[in-house]
Amino acid sequence: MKLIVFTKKDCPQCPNAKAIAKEVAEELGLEYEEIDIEKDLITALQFNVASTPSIAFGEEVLFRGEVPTKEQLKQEILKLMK
Amino acid sequence: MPETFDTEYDHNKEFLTVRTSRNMLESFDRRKIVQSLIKETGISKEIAEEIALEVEETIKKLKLKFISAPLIREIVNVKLLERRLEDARRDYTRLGLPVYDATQIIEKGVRENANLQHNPETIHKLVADWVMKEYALLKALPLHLADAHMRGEIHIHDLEYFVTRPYCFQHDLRWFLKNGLKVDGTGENTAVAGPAKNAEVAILHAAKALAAAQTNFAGGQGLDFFNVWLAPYMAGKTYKEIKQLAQMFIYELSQMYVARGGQVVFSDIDIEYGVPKICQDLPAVLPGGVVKDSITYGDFEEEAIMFARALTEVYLEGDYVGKPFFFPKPNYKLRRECFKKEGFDEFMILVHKVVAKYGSPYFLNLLAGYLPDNVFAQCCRLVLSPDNTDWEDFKNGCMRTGSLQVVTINLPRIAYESNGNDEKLFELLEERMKLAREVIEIKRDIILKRMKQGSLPFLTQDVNGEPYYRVDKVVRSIGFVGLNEMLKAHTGEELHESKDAWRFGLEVIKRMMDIAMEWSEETGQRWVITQTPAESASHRLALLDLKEFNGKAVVQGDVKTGAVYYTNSSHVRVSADVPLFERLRIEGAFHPLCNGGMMAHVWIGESSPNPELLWELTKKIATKTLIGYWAYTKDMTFCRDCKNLSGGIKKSCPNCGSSNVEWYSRVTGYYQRVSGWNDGKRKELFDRKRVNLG
Ligand SMILES: [Zn+2]
Repeated sequence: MKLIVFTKKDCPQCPNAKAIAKEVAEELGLEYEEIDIEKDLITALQFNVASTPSIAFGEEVLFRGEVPTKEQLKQEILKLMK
Repeated sequence: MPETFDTEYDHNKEFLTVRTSRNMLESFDRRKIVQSLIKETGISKEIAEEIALEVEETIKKLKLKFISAPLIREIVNVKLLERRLEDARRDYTRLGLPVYDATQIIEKGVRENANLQHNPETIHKLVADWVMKEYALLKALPLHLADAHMRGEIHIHDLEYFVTRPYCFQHDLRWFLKNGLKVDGTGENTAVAGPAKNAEVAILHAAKALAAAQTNFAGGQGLDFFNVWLAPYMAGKTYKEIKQLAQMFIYELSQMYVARGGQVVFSDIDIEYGVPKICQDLPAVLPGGVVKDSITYGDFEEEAIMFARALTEVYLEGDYVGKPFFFPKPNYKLRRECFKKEGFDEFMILVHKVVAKYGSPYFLNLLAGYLPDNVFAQCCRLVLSPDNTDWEDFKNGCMRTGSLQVVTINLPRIAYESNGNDEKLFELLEERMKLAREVIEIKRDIILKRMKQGSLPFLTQDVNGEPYYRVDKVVRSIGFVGLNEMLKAHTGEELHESKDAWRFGLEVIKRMMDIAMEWSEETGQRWVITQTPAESASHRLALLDLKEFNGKAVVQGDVKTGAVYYTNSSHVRVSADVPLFERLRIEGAFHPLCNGGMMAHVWIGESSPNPELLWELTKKIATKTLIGYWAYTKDMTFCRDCKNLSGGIKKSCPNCGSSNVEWYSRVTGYYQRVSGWNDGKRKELFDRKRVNLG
């Protein structure tokens, strides 16, 4: 399953969210992907995401329009992996 | 001089007597035809005289004692058409309805508008509606646009009001509290009230402002921040007193049965839990219309919460016989900041008790991340996002907006016409949108003209040098119906049947939004896409398509009886066997694209759902989906004999067994008696897949 970060060009929080998500993906050995919601709005909408930064694991959106801590993100992913 | 027409009647030897449209008997005089033709149609004197002569000949042959002026007019019209003078015919013809239809309206009323009771006021309204609708199609709109509506390519809403009123509006109560109230807009025909000095009067002014405005608008009248702007008036009052005021307001708006020809005001109020951050530092309008910089709305947090609770309790109690209040519709705003406030959870459980009992509340989801801090919800499903100049108005105490006109695009028709060709489909989509745009541009000119002519006096009131109604600041709404059936016809799959169909649906609506945004840039006006509240359009368009595209048309309902309908906007087919959350995720994806308004429905199957579970569901919808506006609909059966109200659609009263019952449900964006629904909508009611929370 993939870890996806939804981003937007001018979003001030996005770099932060991307960094955290990348680290977590590496640690847990997950595939990592970024989706620019302006370039691919429809994919974002199909995830029910319309704000950035948002993070999804597989089909499940874990955080919408907020940056979790590394620990929070890990915790949510592990819950779903069980 | 005319010759004798009927030898038996000597007194008519020389003159044929005409019953004129002014209810007087006049002698037939050909010259009157000539004069009226020249005056009304502008054709030449020669042709007018030629026609008048021919008409006289025709009438002679009929050997009548009396002839009515309307009949002469129709004969003239035939002569005009024989000469291919169609424009002149359009100007010369009469508007009105056949005797048969007038009798039907007088004796039975019509079912087309779910809000109309059969009473003397509505009989007058329906007769007038007929003429005004014909006038709009015949005179106000050019032939190609009128035809596009008649053929069912587009649906022009509220045609009966097309030439007289804009659609809907959201008011700022602070302006009336500060300046008082002129219900006729000028103060010349009615008494003028100064700023309310106490809470009772403030409440009455709020109710009367909406009723007054309704006389100048076709659709919904809303008050945003209702409990916030009134909070200063509640200062020093006990909870019991505040509840009495809440009750007074709700009764006023659900009992003034006087608007738009014998209906209640189509009203709604937005209720906030306390004073939201964006209002806290604004100087408050205090009793007497006084404003002091030192006193802001933030000082009335407690009063705002008490008033919100009081309003909610009144909704929970229902009316004297235990029926729900359908108007004003209460919109509850869900803000992230609310969750941190003490008592919010408890308050929302109270709100969900109302949901469980009556289904009345509506929810505005500011947690979805695409609606700005302040949205306007009004009417059936309008959520109007403000821009910068709106914020200025907001700070200055008179924020106001609305929709000028809604025109709906028949999406399935486009699919039938494009034969599976994507390119053709998008081409036709834009073409239809352009038709809608033309209609709305005509509407703009009409409303500006009416304002100049003084026939919209409530709208031309002065607000700091500007008219109360600013035509170029309100939105132009392009709606759509039947995305689901469009997808079925075009891709072979319904909206919920595959991710690809869903995606293609999103592409269609996104294209609409992109076009609307382009137009906004081009014109400096606000073009928006809206999920049409299509209580009559979904039935009318499905019927037309069934006739026109037989074998190809994809409609819901019963083809044999004609009880057919299209699925509303981008909703999932109501009868589709899809888990609730899946449905909401599919539908929610469309909401950010519908910047002119959206709404989702949750049809409740249980007769007494658990309020705590409902609140949990609300939180889940708010945080996990993009649904921006929704309501839970609980169907109800009301017994006319024993006045018992029970959940669900039942053939007889569970209390006394009587079959003298009335059903209530949401037709689209509001509750109504089911007996007023059209056949398509009734069928839809029975098709709806309802959920049980368990
Ligand atoms: Zn009964």
